[in-house]
Amino acid sequence: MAEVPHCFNDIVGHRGAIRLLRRAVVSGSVAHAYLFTGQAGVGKFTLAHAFAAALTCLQPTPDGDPCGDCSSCRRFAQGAHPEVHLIAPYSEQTLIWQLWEGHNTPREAKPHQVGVIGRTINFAPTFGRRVVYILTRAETLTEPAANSLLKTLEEPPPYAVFLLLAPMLEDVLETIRSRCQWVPLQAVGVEEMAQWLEQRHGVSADMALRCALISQGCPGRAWSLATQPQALKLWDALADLAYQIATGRHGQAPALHLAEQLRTLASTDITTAEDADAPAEAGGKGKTPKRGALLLAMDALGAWFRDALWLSCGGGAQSIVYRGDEARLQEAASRLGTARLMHALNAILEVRRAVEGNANIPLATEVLILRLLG
Amino acid sequence: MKITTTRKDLLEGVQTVAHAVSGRSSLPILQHIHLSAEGDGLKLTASDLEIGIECFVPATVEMPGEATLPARLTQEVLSSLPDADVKMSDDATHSVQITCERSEYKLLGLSPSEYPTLPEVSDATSFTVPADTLKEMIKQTIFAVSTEETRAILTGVLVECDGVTLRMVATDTHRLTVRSHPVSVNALETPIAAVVPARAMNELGRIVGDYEGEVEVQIGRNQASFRPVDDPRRTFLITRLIDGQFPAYQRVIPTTYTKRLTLATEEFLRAVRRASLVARDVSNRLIFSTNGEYLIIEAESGQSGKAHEEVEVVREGDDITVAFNARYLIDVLNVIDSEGVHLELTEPLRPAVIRPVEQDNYLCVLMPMALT
Repeated sequence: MAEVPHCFNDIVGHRGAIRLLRRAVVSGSVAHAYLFTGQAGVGKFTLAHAFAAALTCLQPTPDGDPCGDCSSCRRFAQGAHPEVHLIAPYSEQTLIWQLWEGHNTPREAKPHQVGVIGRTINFAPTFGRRVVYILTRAETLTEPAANSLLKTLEEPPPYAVFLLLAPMLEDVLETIRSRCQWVPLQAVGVEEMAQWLEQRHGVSADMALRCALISQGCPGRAWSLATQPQALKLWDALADLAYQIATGRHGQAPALHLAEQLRTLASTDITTAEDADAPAEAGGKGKTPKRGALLLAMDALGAWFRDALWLSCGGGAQSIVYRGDEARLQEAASRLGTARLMHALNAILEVRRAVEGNANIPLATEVLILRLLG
Repeated sequence: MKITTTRKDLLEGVQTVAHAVSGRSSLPILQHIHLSAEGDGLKLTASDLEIGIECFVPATVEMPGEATLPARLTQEVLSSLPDADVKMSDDATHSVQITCERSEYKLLGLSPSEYPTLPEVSDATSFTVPADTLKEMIKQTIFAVSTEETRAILTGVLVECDGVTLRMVATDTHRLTVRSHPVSVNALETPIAAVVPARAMNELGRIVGDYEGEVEVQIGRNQASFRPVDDPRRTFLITRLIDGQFPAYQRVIPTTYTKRLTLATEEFLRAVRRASLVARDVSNRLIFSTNGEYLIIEAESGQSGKAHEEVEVVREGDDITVAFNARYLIDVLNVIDSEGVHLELTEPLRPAVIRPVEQDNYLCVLMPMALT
């Protein structure tokens, strides 16, 4: 992950959300709990992080930004703010003992992971103005853990603020949802993101645009693409694979072989937002990609077929993702036609959902290739 | 930093502050002790951001400066070094060299500037209490503190002061202890009510344990601090306060009684302790009934058998049969040092009050158990 900005100004996009959060900081009418939703890499954590800095800052600016200079901000910048608590899942789930001590704590748990809320919430802050809890993946809260939070979310001490992050509103319990102010995060525009990559991270204009296009509105993804050249190479390799599949140029290679190829490509060492906080997939023989990397690969395939579909419907070349590959896309468009391209795109989306839902990776890739070929 | 001191003084200092070192903070620096050499000695500080302890070790300071040392390792190294002079010096990489006779250790520290400074107690009211009184007040209340995290406010001791009386109160909803002591606070605008975490109280009890003198108490909005006045080791304890409203405890203290039993503390305690051996598997339930000049203490367990004890009693009011948790009774009888105790009762299921005879500064309210 890039260095997470401590200030709203450094965040790309999300103007509406930022306006809302700044207003809360300035007016002092801060809700007990906020629920940030949006897909992985869209900027939930970045936004929550900047908000936490502003909430704890002793003298926020009139715009609602953290001052960057007070003792609270300095500790925050060192990544050692004692009153901003991160609660991340413990092996895929956020469990009740992470929040409150004494509920079947496993012996191997590190002491600082145990009872984070229980042992801190009753102490008023002494470093900053507030105590902030960031639940980085609220969708992984187990039901008992979520229920144990209800009373606290409803009546926390006046200085405590909870920031819950989840992909979708539906991913957290209704009872939690109703106690949080909802901050939905939308995809960030391509131009805006390309500009941000170029200016803020010194990425070349060409590369910035490609990354922005591919990332589907997620700055986190765009940034990780821009900093990992192998990711863009993978993207090109997948375009080749898509072209082979779409035009039948895979020769005699059987479907299973193509699936193998897809898995090998997706096993490239790339860090994605999904994988950053997930443990490595167990039992892989080196050829089974991480779930996040495979999703990325499927996005690449999907984007290619989408471009072909777009062209086959008579869309202009300016809004395609695979710029420079128009000739091959056009060939696929005229060969397959709109209906079959639709079918292919649907197949990709369905299998992608299955992979997100923890489907068996080798099986899912094979089903995908078979459906694309059929 | 470059200093010379004795191993004994240094170890004592490190052991004093190490109690505040965190076992479970995510910040690595909080596993360390902060050392600051200036003037005539070394100041040691440790904190887990809940409590912080500071103390002073006399030393010859050749070069003032700051450093940090890992608490546990330093404690282990110091306690196994020979009893002689210890030299300490640090270098640019924050490691600290400890030399004692022919032993030489280089322990890896962290940047001292990262160490969080102990907060100031803001808007504080201060007063002094004799150390031995403070220690006794803690001892007489702290056992009733709740250990259940779900009601955090009960995991601390309420320290209350209205300007003339200092009061410490603790409860876990089954029992309640109240100990008071006269103090004089000048210009107290609003009465103080602060809930000090049990852990800080235990540490305080330890710190003032062998000290004879006054302790300066400062109570602010979010913190409280305790400092023995004129302590050569200049020990200082600061703690955060538990936020929230302590329950209105006065309402559960019975104002009248209809029966009062007066017993010899020691004899009563011994009898309860013996009888409780049999009561272990029946939730420590002991049944008390008066019979003439005797109080009969009985326990009955299907697994271990029966106990029957008789204790001489002076009774006012009618005969009564009532059940108590033996452990709760032992806890309170253990901290009463008067020769006799009063046990004030109304009905078998109404709260009872235990008070030392001829002392009105202490009481313990006990909820009886069901008889069957």
